[in-house]
Amino acid sequence: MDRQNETTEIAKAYSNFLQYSEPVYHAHLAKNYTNGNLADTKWLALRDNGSCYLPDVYTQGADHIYLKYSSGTDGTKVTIRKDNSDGEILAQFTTNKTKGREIQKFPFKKTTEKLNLYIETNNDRISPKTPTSYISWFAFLPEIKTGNNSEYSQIEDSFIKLVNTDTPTLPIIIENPDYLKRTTQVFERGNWLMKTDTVEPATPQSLNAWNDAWPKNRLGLSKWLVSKENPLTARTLVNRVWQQIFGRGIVASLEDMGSQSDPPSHPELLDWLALRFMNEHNWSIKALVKDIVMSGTYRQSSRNNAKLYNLDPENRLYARGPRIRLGAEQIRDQALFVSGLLSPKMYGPSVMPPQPDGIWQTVYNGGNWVESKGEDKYRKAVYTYLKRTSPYPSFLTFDAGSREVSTVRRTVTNTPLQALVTLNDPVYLETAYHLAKFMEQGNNVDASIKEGYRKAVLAEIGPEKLQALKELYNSSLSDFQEKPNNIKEFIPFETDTDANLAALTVVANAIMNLDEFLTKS
Amino acid sequence: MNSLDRLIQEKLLREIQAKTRRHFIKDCVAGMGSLALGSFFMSCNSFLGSEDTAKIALTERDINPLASMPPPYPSKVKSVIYLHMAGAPSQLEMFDYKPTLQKLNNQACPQSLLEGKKFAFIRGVPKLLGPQAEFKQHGESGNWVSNFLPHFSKVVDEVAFLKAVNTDQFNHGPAQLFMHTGSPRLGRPSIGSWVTYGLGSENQNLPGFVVLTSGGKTPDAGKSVWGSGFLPSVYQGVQCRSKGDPVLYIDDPKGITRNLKKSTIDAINNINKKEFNEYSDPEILARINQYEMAYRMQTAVPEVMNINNEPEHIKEMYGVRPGKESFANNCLLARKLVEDGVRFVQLFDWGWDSHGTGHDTAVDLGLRNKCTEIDRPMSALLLDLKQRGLLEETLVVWGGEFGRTPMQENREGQEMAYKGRDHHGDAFTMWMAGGGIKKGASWGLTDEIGFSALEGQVSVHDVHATILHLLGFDHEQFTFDFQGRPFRLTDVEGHVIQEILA
Repeated sequence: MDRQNETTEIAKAYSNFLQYSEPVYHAHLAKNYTNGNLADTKWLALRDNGSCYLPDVYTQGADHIYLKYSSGTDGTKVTIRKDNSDGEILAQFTTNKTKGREIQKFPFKKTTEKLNLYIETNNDRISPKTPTSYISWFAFLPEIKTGNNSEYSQIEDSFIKLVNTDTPTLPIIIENPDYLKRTTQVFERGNWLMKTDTVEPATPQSLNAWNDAWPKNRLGLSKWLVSKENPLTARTLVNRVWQQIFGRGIVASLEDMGSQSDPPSHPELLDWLALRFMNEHNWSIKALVKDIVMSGTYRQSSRNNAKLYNLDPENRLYARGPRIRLGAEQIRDQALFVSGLLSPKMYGPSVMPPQPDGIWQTVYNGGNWVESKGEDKYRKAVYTYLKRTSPYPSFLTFDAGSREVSTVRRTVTNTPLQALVTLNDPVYLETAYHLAKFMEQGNNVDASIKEGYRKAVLAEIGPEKLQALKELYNSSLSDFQEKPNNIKEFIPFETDTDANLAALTVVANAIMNLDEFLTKS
Repeated sequence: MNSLDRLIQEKLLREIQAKTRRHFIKDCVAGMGSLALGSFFMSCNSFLGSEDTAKIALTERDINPLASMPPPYPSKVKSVIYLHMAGAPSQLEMFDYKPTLQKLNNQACPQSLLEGKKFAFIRGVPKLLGPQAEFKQHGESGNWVSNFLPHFSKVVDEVAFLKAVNTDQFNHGPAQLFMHTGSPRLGRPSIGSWVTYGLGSENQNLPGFVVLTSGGKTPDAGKSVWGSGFLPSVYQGVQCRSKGDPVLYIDDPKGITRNLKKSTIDAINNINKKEFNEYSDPEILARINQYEMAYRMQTAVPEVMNINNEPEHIKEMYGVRPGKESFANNCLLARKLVEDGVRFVQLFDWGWDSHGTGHDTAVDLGLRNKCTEIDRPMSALLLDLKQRGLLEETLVVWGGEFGRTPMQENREGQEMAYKGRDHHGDAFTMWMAGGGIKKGASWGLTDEIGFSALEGQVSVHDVHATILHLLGFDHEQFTFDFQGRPFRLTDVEGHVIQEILA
């Protein structure tokens, strides 16, 4: 490697370390403790006269060892030897009391071979039961050949300061360097204690061949996945988009498109779309969606009748257009949009829109559901904070799943609990109120209802439906006029309300519960 | 009548019941001009002035996914109450009497027991810990129960014990998942979901699968222990809460009278009926039905969740604490729910993780208090079900996610101030009571210190197979296709535990 390349590689190692705090040797890799243990399943805790082994360590010739640890005691002598308690000393240093968890570096003997480290700690000033420190990980960075650069120590200080800066963290996946790659072995009958054959990553031989020019890592895998020789990727994707638009995939079992799956209802169509998607649309999903929604099949009316239904209840043959209930997130977003409350704000951390008290119960930590303020209450559903053990209740009710496993296809259900959400959840009442404010046309009730219906379902209301909603308006109005206190209780978040607006809110709530509002047809 | 005849007769009866119901629904939907709403099963009022007289062939499930269905085989019970002591109760202080362990108290645990074992917290060589309760034999069965459970001792002849249940999980989350979904990993449907999927619910005004929690916290594994996994979400457990709305959003918004809510639902359904006339989509019928059900549920749920109207002697019997979240309240609620036709009621009581890290988790102190909390209510539950004739059609299951070690916990290898026991899944106790269960039975035997099973070891899958069997399922036939293969609650395992069946 020439000098320039080497410098680039080293710079990359440092910048990666700053960004990811990887690669490191985590505490749980340590073995054979004496006077010590893996505390709380994640910290290496050695007591006075304690020791452990850290096997298979490659230092890349580093001249320092980085340690992330916390300690409540001063003056612990740490000795790191090669192989065992009699081995050559590779590093010897003192750790002291820290403020929380700190990353520090200590001199380390340069070596390029793979090592088994023997780590011992001594501190006779503390009780034999007290751990000297809690170590999270060990790390090594390639040596920087500084030459005569006098500013180096300053740069070094800044680096240590930077790695110790508390910044928000986000779990992501990065690939380890080759020397940290673990050996993968087959578990005998799934038993992780019985390891057998060592295996290497490869792709199924029944599919497109692997090109040896591809690196054997995630980049190579993605090249294999989107290779035009791969018959599955485009078909799978096209099928999923089709399902979102028609409510049912050309292969109905989206999550399984193999020999045991449902057969495709229209195999030629699937292939045609898949080839077009790769070759003509260059993987543009937008172009694919346009293809599908501009087709005659999609633009058919969703009207059904007994004859069609009995012949083909699931509409596999597409004699009619699709008619499907919106997804959990769409239902929320649509209600917010129609009421004019939906915030267009994009990006940033997740938000916590209102949810009933007592949902967020957790035995793991003290995390609280802190209701977001201002427009963050009305962000698109995709920004809602999700936690697997305590999912957002109204999403769960509308079949969003709790994300415990990859859910490729949501089963759409129709339950009374869903009705309770859109009828009674304060989020939906607030949207109803704002729709009511929008639709109010003075005292012209007919005009108000027409306006609201048009805004919600983008169609003109027929006389019978108008009549039904007008009756609802009239009974609401007399109810609120009889009991004016109910107005304030029903719309607690607004001061300037009256019986008319309250009655229109009831009507708006009804409109937003109509099948035609919750369903795409 | 011999048993075969009885079986045949039962099956015929089921078929007739099933047939008439199906038949009736079919007539109802016939011609689309005569679907009855409101009281769906009672009348067949026409609401559609449709001229289309062709018939849409619908099953009851098309309109209502929780519609009651007969089981494939004759069943012993109609509903299940599952009492889960979250944290894992110590069998050695409650049911599994080990006098030898008392003699060996404070002696170092033999190395042979520790080899190849993994514990959550025990390190090095722990000491054996004798039972911290006094045991006696009770009832005609002569089954052993400790003095931590004086009320339960009196109903011991109603139950069948499993003394050597085995799980391969030793941490709470995965073990609870395993106990309720048949897999320690996330994503499988819980047993309550399987059962409501298979049988629907008898009462359409209440959720079919209800979950009640006490002890201040929900289970470690979160709501996944009553999740529906890959089954449709309508079959997931509905948590009924002691505070706030018993079921989320069940209360009308303030300022909305019941009459006004009725008018709202009438308006919605009227318009939806017109929509149905236009589109003939059965999903619209389902939605109309669900809105009617939601309206009725709004009355039925608060009614069934209100224990104040129960007679004093019943409240006394359970030891309820109205207005509070308590296991006693939940036991009484469980009875009310199954009485009203709810299919599966699951109770989780938190606080059984007796590690001995403090007073509350000491097996001689905190555990005793926890036992006192459940003793009266769970005994009352059995008696109350019995006096109503419900015990014969209900299955009550009691257990934790695993058991506890005969060794005293020694966190980080150190002796601890309080007496505690670590997690242990090799052999622990559960019990079942109710229809089809052999009263006073006890199956399974552990060794002299209660560490391993000597005979009658049963697995979590066996427990599941048995529960399904009592409900009228063959656990090997009861499947759901997902990701290219049929899935079962018991995966590829499970045997019905014949030894505890009547």
